[in-house]
Amino acid sequence: MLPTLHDLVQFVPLGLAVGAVYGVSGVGIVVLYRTTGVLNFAYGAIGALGVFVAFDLINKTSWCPDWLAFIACVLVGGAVTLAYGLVFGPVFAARDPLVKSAATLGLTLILLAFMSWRWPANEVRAVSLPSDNWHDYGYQIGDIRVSWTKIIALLFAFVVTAGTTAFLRYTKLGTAYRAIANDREITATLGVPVRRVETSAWLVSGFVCGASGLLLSGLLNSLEAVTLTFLVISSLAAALIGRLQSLWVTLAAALVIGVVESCLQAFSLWPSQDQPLAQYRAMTPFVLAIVALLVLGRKRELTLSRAGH
Amino acid sequence: MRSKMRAGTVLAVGGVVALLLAALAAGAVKTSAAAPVGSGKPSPTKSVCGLGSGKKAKGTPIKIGSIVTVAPGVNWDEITDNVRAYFNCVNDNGGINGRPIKYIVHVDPINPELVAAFAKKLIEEEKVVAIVGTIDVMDCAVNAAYYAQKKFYVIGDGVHDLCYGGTPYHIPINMGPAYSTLGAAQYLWRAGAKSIVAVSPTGVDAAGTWNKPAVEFAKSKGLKGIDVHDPYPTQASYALKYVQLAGDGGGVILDYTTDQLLTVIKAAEQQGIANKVLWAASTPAYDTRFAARAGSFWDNKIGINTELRPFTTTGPDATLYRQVYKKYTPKKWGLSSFGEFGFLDARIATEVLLTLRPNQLNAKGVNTAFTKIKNWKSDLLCRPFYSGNLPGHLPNNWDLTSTGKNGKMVQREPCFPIAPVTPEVKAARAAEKKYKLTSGVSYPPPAWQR
Repeated sequence: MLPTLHDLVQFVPLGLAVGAVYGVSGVGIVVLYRTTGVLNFAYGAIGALGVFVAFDLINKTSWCPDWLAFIACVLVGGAVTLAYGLVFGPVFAARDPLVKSAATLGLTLILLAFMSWRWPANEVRAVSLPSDNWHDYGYQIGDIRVSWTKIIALLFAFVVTAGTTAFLRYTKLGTAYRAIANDREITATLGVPVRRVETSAWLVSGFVCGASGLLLSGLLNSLEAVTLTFLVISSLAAALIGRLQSLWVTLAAALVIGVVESCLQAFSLWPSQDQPLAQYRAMTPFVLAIVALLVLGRKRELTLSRAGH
Repeated sequence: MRSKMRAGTVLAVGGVVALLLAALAAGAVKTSAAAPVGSGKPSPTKSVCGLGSGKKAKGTPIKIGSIVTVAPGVNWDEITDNVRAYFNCVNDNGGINGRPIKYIVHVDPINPELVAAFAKKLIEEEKVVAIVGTIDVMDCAVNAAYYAQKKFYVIGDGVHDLCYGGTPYHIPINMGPAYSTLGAAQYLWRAGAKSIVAVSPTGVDAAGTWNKPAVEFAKSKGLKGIDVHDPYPTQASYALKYVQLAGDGGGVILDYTTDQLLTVIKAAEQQGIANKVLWAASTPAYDTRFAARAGSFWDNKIGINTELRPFTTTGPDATLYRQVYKKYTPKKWGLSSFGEFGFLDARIATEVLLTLRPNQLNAKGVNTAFTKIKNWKSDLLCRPFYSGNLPGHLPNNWDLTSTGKNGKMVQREPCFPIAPVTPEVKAARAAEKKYKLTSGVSYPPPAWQR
């Protein structure tokens, strides 16, 4: 049984909110990649670590107000990413991007192991954002109320993307980022403090990572290390669709992934109850990334061949 | 001078006595040390741990083993931790006629090869005399033939369908996810639900059978029954999906652990769709942590099927469970259905062991005795527990419904019989009648008659 349009539409705002968080993470991943050549697979794990620290501060201490815990979440994201960048950035600077990226898998596994040990999945954990509970001020779309956390997530994604685009285009540091992305060695010979610029990229990327984790925890209502860690897959897919270049395409791709993933939930009885389409929704980022890369790759080939003629 | 000194001494002594009396009155000084948890003389109104002697057991340990599934989102070591807690209490109260119990637990991360290896290790290498408190996704399916070969009868908690009537070698104290979901469906039907959507987690309901009795029941009542299997419900869209599937006035049963359940219902609350349907859950959510976290919005709003009677009563076993929990159970766990399972697994096993002579405290003696349990009563059970020499076991086939209210778990419905929608339920009820398993003389006898 196919879902009605009315049923389907209601999944859109939920998908947009989650897609927005994928998008923010994707933008962070792209900026870091363009500056340092590192595709950070640990993005989800770092965000998760920040949220777990916030959870402990809120629930296991008597002195920490919620707002301070939220700030701590963002700071932890920045601190871990910065520490990794400071220690391993220079070591891997001259290595192949594949090696640089694979190294972040090591960080992912270490963080995942630490979180599973420190916060085993035997306790109910959640970090509730104040905006989760502004029930009276959410927006009603069809039958469902869209909470302020979802609206904030969407706005945040656009602000981060627009801000980063403007930053890269109009600031001196942004120009340095772009220069490093084009050619690290030439940029260095021009007197740009490459290490310092890269360090700032790690730090900013980490802050964005912490903020994404915080928003995601509000959207998911539960904290679980494995789940949070592997949500990076959707962000990576979006970044790949953006060819690790375009921030706006990355955001758009992330939103599409989120919406498609969410809307597939409506197909719980189609084509059959035993094998509904909904159960394949986890494949969404892969399928969309492959389709997009194939289409984009074909277009590029056509363009190149035309240019050749 | 001397009289002055004597008067001073009298005054000083009097002062000290007055201070002591004042302190006693204020409760600052105890007249004697508090009695050890689980100690004392058993009676119909007081349960004790084992012998209740208050003395540590020091003899040769009696080894008892267990296998437990622990994987992301599956934290069933709550049960084995509660079994261990009770055994520790027994050991602090004279053990099994002076011998302490050594409890050996192997953790299965959902790997059938490991489950088979653990059973062999427990029986052949570690030489356990019994297996108690096992709760494993695959143990009934993987090890039934091995237990048959070794004549081991596991007193524990089932998960797989085979644990409930499919093998004589598992005697579960719980009724398992399928029947708990069925109980939740019965609650929803009584509450007037127009449809029943039963949701189970794919990670542990690998065969996809847990919802079948509930869906069967729904259809038998002329309701739409939908069987849904989902992974860990991480996103808000799951809540909307279930509500849409159920339709306005329909019922949704979530067979998830507490944290997973909260993920879904909190999302439904935030989306303003929670009141469109009636909600129910299977037994894992009967947990103080659920009530504390769900919030007042969910007061009386979700019927949680509860396979054992509430731990909140003043009944002797409920009281002892709370005392044992307080002293011996790791506080990462709450008071819960799972805690009750572990407590009762260990308590029944202990009561059986205490009836055996020293030369019967071996695998053969203990496992033979396990098959003789009959009409064993506890205020935590709706109906008496039994094993019997049956081809399969489903002794716990009555349950009740609870709900959260003001941060606490409260009983919502009295005990009711699980609908006989499967041949196993019918067979269990027939066996109870035929062999008088829930009437007559109890084995093991009540502790005060031991």
